Amino acid sequence: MIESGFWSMGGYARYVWPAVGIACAVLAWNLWSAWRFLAAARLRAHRTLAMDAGSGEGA
Amino acid sequence: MALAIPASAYGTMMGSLALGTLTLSWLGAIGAGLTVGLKRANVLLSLIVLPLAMPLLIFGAGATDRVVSGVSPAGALYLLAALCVLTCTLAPFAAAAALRISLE
Amino acid sequence: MWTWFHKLASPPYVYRTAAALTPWFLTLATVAIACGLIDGLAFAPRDYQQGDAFRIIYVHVPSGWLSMFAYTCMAVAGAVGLIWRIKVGHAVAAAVAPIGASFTAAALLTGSLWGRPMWGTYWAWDPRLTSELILLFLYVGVMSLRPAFDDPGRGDRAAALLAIVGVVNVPIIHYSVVWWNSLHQAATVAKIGKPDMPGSMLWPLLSMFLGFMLFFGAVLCIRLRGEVLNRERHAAWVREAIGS
Repeated sequence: MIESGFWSMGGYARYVWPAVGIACAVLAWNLWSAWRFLAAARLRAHRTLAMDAGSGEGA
Repeated sequence: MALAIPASAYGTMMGSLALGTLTLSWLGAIGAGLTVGLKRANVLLSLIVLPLAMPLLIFGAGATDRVVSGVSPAGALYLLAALCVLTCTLAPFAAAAALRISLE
Repeated sequence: MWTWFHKLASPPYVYRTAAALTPWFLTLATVAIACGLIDGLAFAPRDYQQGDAFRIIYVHVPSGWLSMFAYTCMAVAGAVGLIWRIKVGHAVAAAVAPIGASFTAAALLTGSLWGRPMWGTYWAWDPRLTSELILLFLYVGVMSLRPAFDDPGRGDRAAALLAIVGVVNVPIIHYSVVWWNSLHQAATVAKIGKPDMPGSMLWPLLSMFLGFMLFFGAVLCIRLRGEVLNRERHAAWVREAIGS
């Protein structure tokens, strides 16, 4: 199935594996960054709702 | 004269400068319209104009480069002219829209 | 069908639909990418000329395609926001930008790693490479322009205009290998008629294409919800949507 040539990629390992690594890193970064963005937006929305409710009662 | 290019290249150089200057002016107008009144407008302006101007720079320099090496610059000059026509026809609308956005 | 279009202009509808779609996109994307990558790296036959180095194609080509597709989405979404004043359009454009930029960087970097063994250089001022680099600068320009305005609506409109102006670069990237004598190889898959690749090499690539597109959809949905929330946080529907 996966022979020893898999890891050495016929001698091109130092090009192929970093390239695959970069692609995986970009995919991972996208997911992580998007989740963080959504979480921050949620937090901001919660705060805004609290403020709006507060100012509504106060006014 | 300047840059020690042979006299035979002057015509092409003037031609590419003429076309290029016109194109670059319009690209700058778009960039200026988008960034007018912003803080740090100068950095943003370079950031916006650079990618738009890169093809222009490549062909403009390429034309003179070619004629100096003895190859015909016709292809590069035609492309430069095409960029010029494209920009001159469409950029005014883009620049107007940019100003409208920035100043309304 | 027009009702569906109208629904797409509604922020709460978009928010809920994006939330529902995300797990589907993500699961299918994972399957497609895993299959494509394993098949492409381990099982596809070695290329006659390029040896095992050609396997970079399985990450490079989908990244490049996505970089162009994302920019086009960003420009179209920006145009929708600018012309029809549909705010969801601006939200989509803002959400797509960082995703597209990251894939452009991935395409440039993986391509560079492929170029070193194949052409002997990490970089060349070749039409396709140069225009892809221009695309990256355009993305950065759009992402920098948007927050520079005090009024976020104005920032959205300016970024949309810049995205539209820059979209002329996308066909240039695509056709650069046709119009010029480029180092970069010409189209092998997206040709009319039979693709030039044998099936055992092609299927993993198609699987990666599909996987990347689905992944793009998933990440877009997540970011879009964030963008919609940021723009609509004073609206009434947000209270129920995020729970107070």
